[in-house]
Amino acid sequence: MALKRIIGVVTVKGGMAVQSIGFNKYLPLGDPVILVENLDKWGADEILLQCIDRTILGVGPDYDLISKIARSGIATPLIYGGGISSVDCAAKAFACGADRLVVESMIRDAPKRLIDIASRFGSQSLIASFPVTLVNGIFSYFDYLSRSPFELSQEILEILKNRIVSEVLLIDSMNEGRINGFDLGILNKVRELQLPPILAFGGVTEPDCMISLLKHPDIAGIAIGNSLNYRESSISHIREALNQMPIRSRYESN
Amino acid sequence: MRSFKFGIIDYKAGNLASIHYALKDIGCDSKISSSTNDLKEVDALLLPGVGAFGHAMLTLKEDGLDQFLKDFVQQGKPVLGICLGMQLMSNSSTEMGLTTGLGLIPGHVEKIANITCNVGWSPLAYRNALNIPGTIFDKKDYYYFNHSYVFHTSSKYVLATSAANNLENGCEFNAIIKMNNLYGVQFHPEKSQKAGRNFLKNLIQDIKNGS
Repeated sequence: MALKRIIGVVTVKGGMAVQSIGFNKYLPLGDPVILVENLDKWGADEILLQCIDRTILGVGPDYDLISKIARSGIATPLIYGGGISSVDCAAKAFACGADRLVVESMIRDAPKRLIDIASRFGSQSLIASFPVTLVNGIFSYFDYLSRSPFELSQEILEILKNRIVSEVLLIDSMNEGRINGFDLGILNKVRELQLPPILAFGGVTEPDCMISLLKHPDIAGIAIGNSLNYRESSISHIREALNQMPIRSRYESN
Repeated sequence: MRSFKFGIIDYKAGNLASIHYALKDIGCDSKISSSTNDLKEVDALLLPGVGAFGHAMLTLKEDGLDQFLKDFVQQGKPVLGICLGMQLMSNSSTEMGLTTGLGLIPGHVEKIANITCNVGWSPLAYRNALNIPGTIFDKKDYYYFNHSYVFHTSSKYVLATSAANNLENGCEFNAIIKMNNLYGVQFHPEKSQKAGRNFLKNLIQDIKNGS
């Protein structure tokens, strides 16, 4: 893989950027376009825009929001997630301004469609998202819509093994929105599955946690959400703290 | 004075808006279309990235864009291919089975060695300079790559290479190729922040100079 990446995450609910805490509590942050523009200016390696209510509302991807962001002229790769359920959805999302897609519900509900999307757009354009929980040593994949655990089917495991998706976004659901740090035990639990390269999200707040993750061989990137919004040019401060890590050390703000 | 205008080919995949607004950002006009009528009057054509070879070639043929591109090139007009767009200019690709390409630049597209996908930021190793007066390519600049396949071609067309796992220990592949006024870049200049914007500006200047 190339250098490991710092991914800025903007979570959107009801069209507004929110601070999410455990997928349960949401505090408003403001216009998602502004937050994305900030991450672009501050030099994130990628920006993940996750619209978390699109599937549950049955309204499909937020093409308007993707288009607005594209019109702002951001020069940082945009990963979009939320409501992607078909090849046509994916095509329109790319046409509007997404550069990669992250899918979650489709993995459980219609995993074969991932194959169709990968055939049309390439595996490198697809990321599979798995919220997980690790509580008292018990690990499970977590469906945050029904708020219940689920098992990875053989079909899903085959898709991952055959690298139909390029990367996996593993979300530490227990620590999402909190400062406790991403639970590294999660990476041990999934090791045997030989997943594609992993992007870690959930509780990635402090430099120590980031360093531990970036040192892990299965990690391709760290996704950071809420904490990036509390400080101007937060990403450059993070890069300074991580200057011994295999990340992009040089960038110029746009 | 009319500004330079790209025709961005819509082959029903591609991150069309990203490249359109990147060009706008640097003062370059562009039109997105799958219609040969719409694309006739542009100064250069652009094959965008994000997609898979087989489906893209199928769509190009269905819309008559494969022959249109070949005729455009025969007239001596410039074409820029980005990522998959660069690969489409080859003779063939093994992505999803062997598929014939546009045959605009001799070469063949194959799976990148040793890894499934190359996603992320890497620097370039310049083989031959783009001879543009006043151009400064900072060799420490990083560019964003997102691909699973690479374009093998004669070294005489290669301006720069890159490597997954950085240049010291990774597998090298062609990052910038040029044959007459056909240009191919494996990375995404439209999503490579300031380095990418500078690259696009320099490239357009090179096209205008008719190098």
